Amino acid sequence: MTRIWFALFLTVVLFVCPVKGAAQSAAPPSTRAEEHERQQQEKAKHTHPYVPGFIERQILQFEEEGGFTTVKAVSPAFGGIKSGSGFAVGPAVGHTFPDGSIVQAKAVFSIRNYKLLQGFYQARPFADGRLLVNGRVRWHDAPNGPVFAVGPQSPEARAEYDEQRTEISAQALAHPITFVRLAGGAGWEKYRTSGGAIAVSEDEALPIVPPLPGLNADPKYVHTYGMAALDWRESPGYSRSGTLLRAAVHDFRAGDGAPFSFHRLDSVAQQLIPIMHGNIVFDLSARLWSTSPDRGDEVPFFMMPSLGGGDFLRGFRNYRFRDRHAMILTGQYRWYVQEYLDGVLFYEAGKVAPRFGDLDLDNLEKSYGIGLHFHSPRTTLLRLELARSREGLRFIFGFSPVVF
Amino acid sequence: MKRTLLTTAALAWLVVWLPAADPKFYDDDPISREVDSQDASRVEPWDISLAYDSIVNLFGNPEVAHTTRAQDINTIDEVPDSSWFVNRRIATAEDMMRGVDDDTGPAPGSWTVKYGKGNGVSPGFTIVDSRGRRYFVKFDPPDWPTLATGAEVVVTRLYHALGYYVPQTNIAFFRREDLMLDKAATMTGADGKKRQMRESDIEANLRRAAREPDGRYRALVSSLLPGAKLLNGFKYIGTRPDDPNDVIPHEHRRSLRALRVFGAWVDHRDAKAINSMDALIVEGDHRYVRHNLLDFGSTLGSAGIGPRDPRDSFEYIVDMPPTKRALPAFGFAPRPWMSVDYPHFERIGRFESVSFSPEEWKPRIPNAAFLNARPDDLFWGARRLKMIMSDELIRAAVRAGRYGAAQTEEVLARTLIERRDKIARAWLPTVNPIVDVAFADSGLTFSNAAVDFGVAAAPSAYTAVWSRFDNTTGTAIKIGETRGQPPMMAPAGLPSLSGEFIQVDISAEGAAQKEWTEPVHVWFKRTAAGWKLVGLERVQ
Repeated sequence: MTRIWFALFLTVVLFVCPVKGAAQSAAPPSTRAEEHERQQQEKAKHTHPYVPGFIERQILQFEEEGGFTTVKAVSPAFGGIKSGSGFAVGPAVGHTFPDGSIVQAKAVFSIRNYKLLQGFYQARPFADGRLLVNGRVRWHDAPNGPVFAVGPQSPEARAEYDEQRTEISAQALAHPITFVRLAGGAGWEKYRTSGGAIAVSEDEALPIVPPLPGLNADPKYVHTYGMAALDWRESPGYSRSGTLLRAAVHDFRAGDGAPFSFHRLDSVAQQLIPIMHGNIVFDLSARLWSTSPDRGDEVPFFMMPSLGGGDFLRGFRNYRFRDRHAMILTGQYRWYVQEYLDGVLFYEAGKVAPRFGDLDLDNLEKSYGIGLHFHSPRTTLLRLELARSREGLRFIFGFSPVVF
Repeated sequence: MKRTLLTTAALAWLVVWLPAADPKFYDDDPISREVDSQDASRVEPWDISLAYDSIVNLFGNPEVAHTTRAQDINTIDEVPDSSWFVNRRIATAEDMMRGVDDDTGPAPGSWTVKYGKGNGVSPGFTIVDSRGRRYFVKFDPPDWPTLATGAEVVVTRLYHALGYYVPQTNIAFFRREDLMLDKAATMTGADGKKRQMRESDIEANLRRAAREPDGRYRALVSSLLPGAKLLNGFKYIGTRPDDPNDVIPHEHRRSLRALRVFGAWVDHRDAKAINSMDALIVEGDHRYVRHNLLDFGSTLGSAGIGPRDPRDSFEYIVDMPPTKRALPAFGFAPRPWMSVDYPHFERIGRFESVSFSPEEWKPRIPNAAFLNARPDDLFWGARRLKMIMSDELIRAAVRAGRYGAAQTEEVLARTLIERRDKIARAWLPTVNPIVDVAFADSGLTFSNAAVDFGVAAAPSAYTAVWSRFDNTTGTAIKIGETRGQPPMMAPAGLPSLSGEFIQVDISAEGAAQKEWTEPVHVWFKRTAAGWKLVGLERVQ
């Protein structure tokens, strides 16, 4: 029996231990350097190229194609039809040429059945990028648009009308020095409007379609314009400081002897006052529009300046007030929430008037509200605003800055 | 007999088959160099998306453990030389001004433009000088002369001195007529694709560049990084999967964690993957990856294209706690950056020291290495900063920026000095700051970094607990305890054979900082020459 145990002992000591010892002899490092080398050897067995995931690949491709600064082969297009369209989206196809010229076509459709087809071309930048020349062919269809009576005291009730517009135009935009911007352009525009209708389903409907200049008319225009601006803002789309002074003159020559030729003057002054390194920004602006028809002619109602909607007098419906002349004073208090998010309180007062001399500070329509502005360093991307006026509360969901 | 044989066999089996514990200290500890042993020739450039990297770091919840000890340190708590970091000693002002090497920029004469930046935010191009050397050329924004170029030159010198791999940078001046367009020059067009470069592209670049009063252009000229192949940047989290030597997660590298300290010092708020560059180094038959930092245009008071945003360095670009406070407060939630009074020096931009709080400093995007930095990492960085960056060396680095105005340079240097001292006050006392430990017959000697640098009062006494240390099992058996000031004599009964270890746990008494009661553990190995320091752990 003892022999058996002794044989077992010898087996363990002579065979099992040396096998394990041999197995371990290559493994344990005797120096720190060997230990590091062993870790690196182990990894060397499993090295492989980095494989980005699906989302990372898409973002990489987007960046390599120039990011947001270039027109892409296929991309979504948002909005841009006409105020009051509601949320609108559609496909866009385009191409950016190596010299910087751009071509793009898009079709956009809105939840209110507004439609847009547009072709756009911009030539390569000239004068070291200080001069841009572009042109577009554009058609939109805006059915059942709101139409209120013209004038500052118009009732809240409304009718509806359909509008189609076709445009072929070209323009040149120059900024010879940093803060100077000049623009000029010409185009052919054709409007087709319906005779108006009463939306019987709505409580606020007018009893009859009001008599309005241009309703049921189909004027064609040769439109020319010139614009000059002094702009010390950081960017037109989003800024925390700076001043804007801008004036534009438009001439609309009606064709076929239609009595709708007129001039329009647009002017705007804006001052941004940052406080505590931009934690608070007072954004003060005044804007004025004035149209003057040729003798014996009229300004079609749909070409008149208007207040109400997502940009001006936001507490009122789209196109709530129209007349030949209009003005609005806006004070916005913006506070920094985080790098790309501002809180906004705003107060607006404005009016429309049949005569320029009536644009005074009496009987101004007022609107105020609160909102959030999501923005990039250079432009406002999304506005969520709640605006109130004597006619109620409106929620504004906008994909662009307030128009300036 | 049977029992004896069984017991002996079982013991033999246990000794051999139980996993052998790795010793705590190897014979070559502490190492002074981390070697890249494997051939890295198969590493290929990878594309890094700025947007994706930002999203991951902003919303991906990078690990914030604060518990994992740095893994690129040696056993005495120091960072050895590696392809990430070098323990350089910049001794003189001349060495600091010189930078990475002796190259002082392009040779006089015409520069041949080889490649242009087409769609970047800031202008620039690549040139070859009359000696055939290639440089990247960048400019200051038109209304802010010296702002970005000065910052880049100063910070590359400071980071080089601190131990990082950076490109050599210099300031150079040239006139338009010095530039010649190479017929084969290319640039990235507006469509993101390469195209032939034109003279008008040079004009477009120069139109966005600041000029000297005499009409010359001031430029930052950056040398090509050494290496056979540029591999794009490294990420501050994880490892590079195709680099066999990259085995330590980057967020656990002290050399990167300590950038939290150095970044706060120079306001390196753009420490992210795209502002780094890996390069394949060929040395004989050996190929490995070296990890460089670059693009310091957004440091000090510069944001590259203008002065630094006043909100930078106080908050991430998406930072929920201040956002939650600010949203309902209508602008009246106090934020530190709101009241900062920046000195008005256009050549420096927005850079000051009064409101600077090292602990509160943040880069624009969360950085996984910074978030994982522990108090011992921050202590190491603060001590290195204080040890290396004398006032004289800081002033020399600033002079290299060639700001052209003595008062401007003095203000910038003084700001850096004051920020350095704030960092020392913030992070030297927050761990037990015992350093430079040695043990000889004359006793145990050490220094207190916080006391030596004048940022904390000396404790009334120190306590040293002495133990015999078993390097195989890691167990310590107490021998005795001594108390007093260094040098502290050892108790009787220390091991005397060569190869034996002792452990000494040193803590402070009567100090204002409770962290100082947490002992620093040090280990000595008995050698023929005496006791050799082989280990130091500050926080366990």
